[in-house]
Amino acid sequence: MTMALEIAELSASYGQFRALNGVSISVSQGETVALVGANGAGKSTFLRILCGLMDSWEGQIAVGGTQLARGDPLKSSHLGLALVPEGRMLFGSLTVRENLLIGQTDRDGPWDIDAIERLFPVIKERRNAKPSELSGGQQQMVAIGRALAANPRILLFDEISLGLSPVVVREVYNALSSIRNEGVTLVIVDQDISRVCNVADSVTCFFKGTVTFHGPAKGVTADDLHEAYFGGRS
Amino acid sequence: MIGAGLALNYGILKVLQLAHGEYITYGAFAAVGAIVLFPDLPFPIVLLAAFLACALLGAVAQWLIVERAMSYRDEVVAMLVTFGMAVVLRDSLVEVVGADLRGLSVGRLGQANFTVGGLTLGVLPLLSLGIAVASFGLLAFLTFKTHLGRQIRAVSDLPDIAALVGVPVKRIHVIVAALSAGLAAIAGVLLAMRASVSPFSGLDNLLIAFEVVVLGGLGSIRGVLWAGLLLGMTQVVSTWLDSNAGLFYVHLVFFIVLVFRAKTGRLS
Repeated sequence: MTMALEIAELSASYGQFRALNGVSISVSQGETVALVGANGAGKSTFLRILCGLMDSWEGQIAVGGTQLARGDPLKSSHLGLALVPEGRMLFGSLTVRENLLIGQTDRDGPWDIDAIERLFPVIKERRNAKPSELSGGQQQMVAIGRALAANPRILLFDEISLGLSPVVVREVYNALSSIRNEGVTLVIVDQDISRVCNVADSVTCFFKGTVTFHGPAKGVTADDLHEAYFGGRS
Repeated sequence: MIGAGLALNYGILKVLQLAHGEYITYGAFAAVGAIVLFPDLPFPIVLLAAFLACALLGAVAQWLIVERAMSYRDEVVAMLVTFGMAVVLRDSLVEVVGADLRGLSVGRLGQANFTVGGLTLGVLPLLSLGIAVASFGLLAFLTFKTHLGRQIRAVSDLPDIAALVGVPVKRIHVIVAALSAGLAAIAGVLLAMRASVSPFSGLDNLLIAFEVVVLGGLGSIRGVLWAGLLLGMTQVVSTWLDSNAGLFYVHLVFFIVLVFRAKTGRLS
């Protein structure tokens, strides 16, 4: 069986600072992975590398069996990776609908504009608005919609609930179950560890650029994660 | 028109294209060359030929030279590269066509005018205005009503995220550079219809383009349209009042607006 993601001995640095150090993870197709860890643990760097937004890294990354190009976001997109970035990063000069349209690719899949609008009805209501006219929660839904429009094989979420109200977080997490039902592999970074572990199949914990825990989410205890979160176990 | 391509280039590529003045000159000389080779060529074809020739030049320069310079984090690198391009383009033109002044002969069209309500209007200036407005209209349609326009705006907003959603950013850069150079060529043709152009006119044109773009706002096509109209009207009125004024009052208006902005804290 081809893995969705196979990462071996991944290391990356920002100048003198070692952000990732020998990370090795495998993720199956359709699996949902919770990526947890303290600020500066390397989670965002990990996602940036997968998306081709960073080129100074070493190691091996295979996406669906194909080696990932270094620092080439367009090729990452062609491999079926899509990102819901921290801070949403919507195109400010495009309307909500245009943000979705630009996300569309030739890849076949269930996520056309109608399906996305059914998932998040507010997108249809605000389709002609500019992102700056939306609330943070609405912006997050558009960011997810834009990523879904590409019919990705692997969908990456960076700080999925950051800055959102509890009601919106619940709505976003409800949408995740619909997305994973379509067979999309999800990698979710969230500071709300208990919530993200509830929806995940597996949990990976980063500490200072290394993986300190990687295992099934079912059965993982608070003590396991607490220890891994502060670097106590590998 | 002179500033539109420069604004487009900076707005999307974030590169101050110092060869823009040379593209204007090349547009003028492309039209002159087309007329010399094919004297009976209709004007729209001449305009199209100049547009396409400069668009191709702009695209190749972006693809082979500027795109590589843009990979450096320091914006000054790309700007200096375009300065070098400007020097090479100007000297190449001098080498090929010499340093003489050239112009497009428009025959009786140059003097043709008509009167509306006691106001005498020249046909040629109106034709220039019409071509400029049509060019802006087409650019606006392309930018706001097409998929390519969406991609261009996305690249302008967030190039990395645009690439991640599948927008071919480098191809968009080349297309924008081609459009920018093509618009400069149209401006060059319109200039050559009203005045003589030399291979050394690029710097003067670049200066005016900068004034238009700075007044209109770097990267704002709509702002450039208004700034171009303001400076254009200034030139028309000042020439009417003082035929020896040249561009003095245009530069003066630019200076006054800059001082006003500095005083009101809206310089950038």
